[in-house]
Amino acid sequence: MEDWPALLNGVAADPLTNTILRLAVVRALFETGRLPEEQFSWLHRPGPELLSTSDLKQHVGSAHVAETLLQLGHLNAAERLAFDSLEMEGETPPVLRTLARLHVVKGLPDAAGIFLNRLQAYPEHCPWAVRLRAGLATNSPATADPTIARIRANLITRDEIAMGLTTERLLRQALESNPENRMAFQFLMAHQLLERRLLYALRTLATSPQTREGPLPRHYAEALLLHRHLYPGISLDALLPRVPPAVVASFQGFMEMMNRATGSREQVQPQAWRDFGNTYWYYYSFGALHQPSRLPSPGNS
Amino acid sequence: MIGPKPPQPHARTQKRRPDIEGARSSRRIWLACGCLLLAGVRSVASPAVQPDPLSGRASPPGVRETAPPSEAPRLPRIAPDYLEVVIPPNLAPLNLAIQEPGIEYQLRVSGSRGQPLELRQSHPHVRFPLREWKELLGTNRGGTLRWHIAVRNPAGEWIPYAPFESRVAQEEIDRYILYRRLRPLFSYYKHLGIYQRNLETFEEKPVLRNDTFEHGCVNCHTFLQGAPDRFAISFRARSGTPTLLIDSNRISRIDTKMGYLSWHPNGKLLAFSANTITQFFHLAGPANRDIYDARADLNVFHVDDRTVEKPAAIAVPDRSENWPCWAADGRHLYYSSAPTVAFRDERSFRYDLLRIPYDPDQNRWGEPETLFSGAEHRLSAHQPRVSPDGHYLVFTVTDSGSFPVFRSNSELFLLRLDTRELEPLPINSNQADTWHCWSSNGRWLVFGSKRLDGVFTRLLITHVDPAARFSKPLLLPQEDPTYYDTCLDNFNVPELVRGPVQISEEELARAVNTPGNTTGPTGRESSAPDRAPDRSTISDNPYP
Repeated sequence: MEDWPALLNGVAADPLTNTILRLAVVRALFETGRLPEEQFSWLHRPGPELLSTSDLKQHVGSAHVAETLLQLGHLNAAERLAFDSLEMEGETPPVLRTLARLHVVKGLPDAAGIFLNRLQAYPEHCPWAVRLRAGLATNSPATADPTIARIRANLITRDEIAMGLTTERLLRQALESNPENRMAFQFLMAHQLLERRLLYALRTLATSPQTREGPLPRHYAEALLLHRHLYPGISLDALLPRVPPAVVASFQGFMEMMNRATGSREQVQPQAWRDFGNTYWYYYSFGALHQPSRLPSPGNS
Repeated sequence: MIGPKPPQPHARTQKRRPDIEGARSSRRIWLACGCLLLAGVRSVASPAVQPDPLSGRASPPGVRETAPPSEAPRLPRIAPDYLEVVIPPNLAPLNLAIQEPGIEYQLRVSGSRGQPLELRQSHPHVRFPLREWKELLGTNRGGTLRWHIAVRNPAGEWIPYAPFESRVAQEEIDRYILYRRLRPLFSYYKHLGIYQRNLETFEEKPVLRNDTFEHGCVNCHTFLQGAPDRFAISFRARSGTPTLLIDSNRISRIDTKMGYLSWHPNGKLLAFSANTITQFFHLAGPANRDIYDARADLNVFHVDDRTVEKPAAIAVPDRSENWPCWAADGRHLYYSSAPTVAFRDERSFRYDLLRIPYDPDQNRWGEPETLFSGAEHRLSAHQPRVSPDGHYLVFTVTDSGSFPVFRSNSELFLLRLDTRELEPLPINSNQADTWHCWSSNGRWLVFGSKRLDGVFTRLLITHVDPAARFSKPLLLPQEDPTYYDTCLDNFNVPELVRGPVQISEEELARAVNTPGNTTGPTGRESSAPDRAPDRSTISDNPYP
């Protein structure tokens, strides 16, 4: 299994301007159950779309996008990207691992075996390969690799010609196939919040069966309050009662700071960063101005 | 619709363990009887071999043999599966891996004539010495080989397995095969090439790799009746999309794009398709990618005066003609043809199989004749290849579309040209079976198949007897019997040739990189004036 906490530790000081690192952080936060609470503790300014490969130089990192697509249920898109990575980046453990998983899910264990044979040449990946091979031998690969069960549950079911696949469309298709696809839901929310598509994000939130009750996660609540402030005419009655009081209080503080501010937005930014740097409000209002190397860490983290 | 392909009789034998077991249960009785004959086989074991668990001789103290008298020994699990195959008498050794746990392995291959081959070793990967293998095949040409395997288990017991047989054909296969070697490609390619393999040994050499011309695309390679010094190769390079003609090892570069090619036996004509290929992808479902190639035409290149002709008969407006193949006597051109459809209707695209008479002396075409109706069968027919004796036509069939290797339901069909009887070949598998090629004597067919794993195209060899009965396919052997277990390359577009291509890779690359003659559809009748002047544009890789 991938060591997601270690990945987060490893990139803690990184400004996260790299496409693949941004995706890796979102994935790690999701896998550790922290994405709706901590996304904007890590990502402070806009960047390339989450699942975009257009910014990759020489396809470096496309294996990671392929693996994410696979986990989302996009078997075919993952296959394309993984084989593109194999051809352009060359053989790497991540792409071999993705191709092995992918062919297990496709019901092609002999093909999976070829990629596992290659992977076994890498000592640090050998144990995983051996485990998955043993799982294949006993017809229980999902025991050896629990993500296989998730992929199977998430598989895209409706075929169409794959053209113009944006991040938004990929994630919506995944949710259409399986509305309970937790990864697709959280990634779609993360994507729409990053793209500052508040209306879309709140529609996703309101229509998802995954958040029907209980307190809203912090960033979703932050987005909800910001939306109500910006578009007071649009009713959000069903969701508002689920905003945690602490978020309501914090938003009042944010608005007071913004109302007190008399200078330009640039002048307000340092204080906003210090007091609200980990919130969606900061990202939404100041993300475009954010210079990661110039500012100390926010104070309310 | 042919739909998902059911397992075929021979296809099962290409799978590993369970298939070997299941496919042969009915033969256990006679195989067990065969085992009883072991004692009569003369052993010429190497000095290291003692005792002989295959001979029935007494075991030394401490070594027990287990062959329960009440239970017939089962067949051994081996890979590749060489049980009951027909072997070309000039083929390289069938090295194999014995997939039985053990600490010592013994294998003996014997024929009715000559010395048996016998190996005893501590590991399960068997590699036969080339000289002795050739001798064994040579002396047993037209006869039968019997394979005996025994494995010593960790408890020290020798387990003899049921013997199996294979047949050595009388007729040789062409000495060399050329193929395109590349990884499964989707949107990008970087490394690919055409290689030649000596079928009598394991030697493989590049004919032309694309890194010799800035990672362009090397496409079709077509030989004049298996002659290694007369062939054509088409490219997509930075310097254009040329075709190289090699005649008596002299290269000329033709700046005309050519898709699928076929030499007329007189060597003066080259039929080729002019394709506009678009690759597209599916969001879900087993078929990830496909090709839209519904606007092709056939052209003829006249070698002597370097002109391209677009005969009206094979470049019909509103029809797409593709996959040309000349008959060995040059009197007919076989090809695929379908009504042109828009992209949105590509699922209904189905090729007919046609042939058209041709008089090479008059350069005159007759009336096309439909041999197989795609609409009637609800199948699409591709890649016609006529046997050298002109009696048989093998072609690839899919439920629709224009590019069979991307479809797992691709099958090989046989059309008997004398009786017009049509049949799917018994050698088909439940994965794509495509890209077939006859040997120059017509007794062998090599084809590409994804049957081993569903992803990678490997080459298989089948013997064809005079009545067009196809033997169980034999996986192209490699020196390392586990070679394919880690191989990430496809082997496709196999072309058998009688000897090695002599021209060097450097010379071919130099020709690709040097602009040459510009040849267009001029000087001869071009019967489709409503078409764009350059119909030979290949916008994408014809062999993705």
